[in-house]
Amino acid sequence: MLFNTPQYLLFLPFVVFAYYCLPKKVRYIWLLITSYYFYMQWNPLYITLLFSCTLFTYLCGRILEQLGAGEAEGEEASRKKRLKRRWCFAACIVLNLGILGFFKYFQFGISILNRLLSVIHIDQVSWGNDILLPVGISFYTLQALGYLIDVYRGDIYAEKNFLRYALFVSFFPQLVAGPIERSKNLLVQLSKPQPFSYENLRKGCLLVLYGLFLKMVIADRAAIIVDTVYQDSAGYSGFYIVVATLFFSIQIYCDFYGYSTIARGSALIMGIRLMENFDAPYYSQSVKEFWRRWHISLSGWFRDYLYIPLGGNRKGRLRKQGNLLTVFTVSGLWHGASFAFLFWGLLNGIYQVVEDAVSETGKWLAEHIRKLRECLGYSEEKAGGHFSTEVFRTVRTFLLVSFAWLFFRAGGMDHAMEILKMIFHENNWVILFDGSLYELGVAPNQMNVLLASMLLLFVVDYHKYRGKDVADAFLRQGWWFRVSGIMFLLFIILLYGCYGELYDLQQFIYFQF
Amino acid sequence: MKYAVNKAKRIYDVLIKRIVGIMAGIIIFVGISQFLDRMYVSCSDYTDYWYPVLWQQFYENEGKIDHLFLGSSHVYCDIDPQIMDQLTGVNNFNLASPSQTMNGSYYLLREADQRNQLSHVYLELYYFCNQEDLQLTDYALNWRNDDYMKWSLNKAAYMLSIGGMDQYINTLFPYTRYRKYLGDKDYIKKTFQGKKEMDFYDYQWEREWADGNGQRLICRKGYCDSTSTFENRYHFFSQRTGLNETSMGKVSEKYFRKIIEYCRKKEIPITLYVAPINDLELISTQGYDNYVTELRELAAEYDLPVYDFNLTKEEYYPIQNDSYFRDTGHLNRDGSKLFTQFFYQVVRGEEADHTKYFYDSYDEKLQALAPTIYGAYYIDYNDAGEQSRKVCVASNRDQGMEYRILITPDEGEQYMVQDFQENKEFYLPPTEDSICTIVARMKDDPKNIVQTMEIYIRGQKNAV
Repeated sequence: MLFNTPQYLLFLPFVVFAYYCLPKKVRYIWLLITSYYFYMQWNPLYITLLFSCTLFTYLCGRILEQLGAGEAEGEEASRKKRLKRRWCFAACIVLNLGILGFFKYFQFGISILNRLLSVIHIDQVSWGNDILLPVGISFYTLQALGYLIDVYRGDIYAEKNFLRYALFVSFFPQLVAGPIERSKNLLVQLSKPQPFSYENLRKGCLLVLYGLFLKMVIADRAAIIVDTVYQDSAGYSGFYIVVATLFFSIQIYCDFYGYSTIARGSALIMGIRLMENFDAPYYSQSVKEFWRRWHISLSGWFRDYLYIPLGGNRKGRLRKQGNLLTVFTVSGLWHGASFAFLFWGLLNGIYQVVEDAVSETGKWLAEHIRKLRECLGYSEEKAGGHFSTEVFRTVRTFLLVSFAWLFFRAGGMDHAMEILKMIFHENNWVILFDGSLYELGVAPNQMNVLLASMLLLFVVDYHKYRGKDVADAFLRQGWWFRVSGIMFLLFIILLYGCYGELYDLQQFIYFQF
Repeated sequence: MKYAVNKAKRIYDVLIKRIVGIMAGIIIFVGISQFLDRMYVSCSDYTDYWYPVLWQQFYENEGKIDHLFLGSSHVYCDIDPQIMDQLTGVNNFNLASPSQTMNGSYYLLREADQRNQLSHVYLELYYFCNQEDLQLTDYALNWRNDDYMKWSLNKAAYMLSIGGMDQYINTLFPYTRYRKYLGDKDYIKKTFQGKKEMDFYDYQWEREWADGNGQRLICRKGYCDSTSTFENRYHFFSQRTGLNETSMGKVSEKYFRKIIEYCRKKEIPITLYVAPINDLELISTQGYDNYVTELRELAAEYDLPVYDFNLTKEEYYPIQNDSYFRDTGHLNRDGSKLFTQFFYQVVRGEEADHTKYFYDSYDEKLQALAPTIYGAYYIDYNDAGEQSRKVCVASNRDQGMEYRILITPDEGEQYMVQDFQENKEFYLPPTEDSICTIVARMKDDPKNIVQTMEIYIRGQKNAV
């Protein structure tokens, strides 16, 4: 059941209505039932994986807490207890990562093995069956492991109520593509259901509507242009690929941000606040800042559970940069089992390492230039950056990130290389002005709608970047302004949304992860 | 106490304000939707006008309808409810619609039954509408009925049955079906103008068409009266579908059973029939008897006969004459007059009384008739990027007849495709307009020319 289908738009009000009709004590059970139902719409069999992950982490959490509680008699007993606890923790981590690894990376592993075997002329390993990746497995596994690590560290108490914990792992708005929630945020809210709030309802509905706008009007329309070029990479070259790649940057942002916004809106209607997953990332002035604003829940997860345990930036500059590269390579691999994703992750890591080095050099240079200016008797420069510098940095960051998206979109290294070659195959900058871009599968008036919608997105994101809660600000406006805004969103979705017979229904990109 | 009263008043005020705000928002939304409907919902062919008029008349007759006719356009062209009124002495209404699919018939039956005391239902079973594909792909056939139905649970159920939830937005908001015309100024202008000029919202609908064929259409209790006549161009027929062993789709069968079971439950007698179709179309199916057999077997499960008016004996009902048809599927005014009377004659009596009117199978009927050519049918197809057109002579003999086929292109010289051979199939360039002359003779009597027929063939550009 996709968020951008009528099924979900009927499912959600039904769930919400029943949720508020039920006594507070049993609401979480209702949400658990509906979440499992929601998940089973994809593949009923894979519910067993979700359940297994839930059961293992729940039991392990309880055991870890038991083993961590009370004073052991003597040092030896205490050491044995600690060892037991560590083994139990490691076993559960390995088990969950093992399941994730099997479904996600087994075929990739076989293909690497076969490449190696073919080099040394040994018969290849045959694996006839395609393994269907269970939707959302990467998300709920990380969420459950995050909980387990928190319990192991003693940051939280293990949840005693199994059904409530099961809901934490499977809460339907964020089950299949995040945000990857923290137990400290979500579990607490699930145990204290909020009364019905009109404010939550209208803000939640507004978020759902805005999310649908991002997905159906921008992302899916941009996808037509991107697919036209990327699926015929031999037929397009030069600026066609550049433009398609830039559109992919918009597509993936609106697709994923749209999903997260709908998820947040859906949860908010029930009084549950999910974390913000995006914070105007394309206004970032460095790749480092971009990753603080993009897929915040995943970046935060990797920071807290991988980067910091690896030493973070506490163990010298070299180690810090090594850690960065490790984290981003793992992040790339988490996204997909292919060398292109691996490279995409590594590239983002490299960007930051280079940025770090350049920034240090920049600081040194700036210091010397300041001293020189002082010696020459010039006044001190105004604090803070110039507007033009900020724009330059923003554009630079956007282009760097977009270049990395090329590998992400290509899906395979061979295809990515082929596309890269085609970029330099022809210098056809003229297509930017002669109307050729209107021939990339989107009719001229549809293209204009896409560009206008992107403009709206940038305006909204600009305010967000400046720290405003745009939804709250919108809801504080007068009745006519609010109605006009809502009508605009409703009718632009109804008229220009990609749905129905004219378009192929597009899955959310992050469902594949 | 005063505090509590003030608080309650404040809550009440806020609540009222919110409800009024939401209601006003809904009204604005509906208003804009109505405006968009007017801008985009098509009014390009006569059926666009037919539906609102039909439903207007249906609701005008609410509570008064006794006999209900359901089915495709064949029914609204073939059965005149006013003649039936005179013959039966009760009120008949024709709730047929273009290519009405079986799920449509089911929900229309429920709609009619909920608003009337039905005493008889006549269900037509045109093979083309019962193909699975049609029901699952051409949602417009049902949407256009649903658009004009009054709101009820039955309407909601009907909406859900049209393409399921995937099509729910298109079902709820008609203008979203025309999104390919968004921003098309010419289309919008044409639609606005069409609705203004053609009195789209004036339900007293009667008009003449300037197509040179003197066609006059009037909607009376769902009857479409037409004075058109069968033109030569109709002898060249685009094959609609081939009927193989399983000719009725699963969804159609499901709703067919639901209709019968509904009538059984409500104790409404139901009559199943197939309206007359020109032999050219029936022959083009290349297996019409498969459909006949399947229908009979299904109906037999409910002890119901099927009256197939394509199997009638000429001596009782001489309908297979071009002067009664306005095209291959629909009767004109003379044809419908003849058919309505014969229909009543057949269905009023006992089953045993009217077996004499019918042949057992369509093949038996064809063999009983003198050797004849009815025209030619064709299939356009794409052969590795090349457009091609396969043409087949439609005659009532599979063997024993020989055909000479001559083609005279509009621009070019006459040439011969074959000279008196049993072969019926040949290929033509799909774009060319021409005249095809078919001369037929019997193989065992070569000196005697059975028939010569000239068919005007239209290329794809000018196809009907």
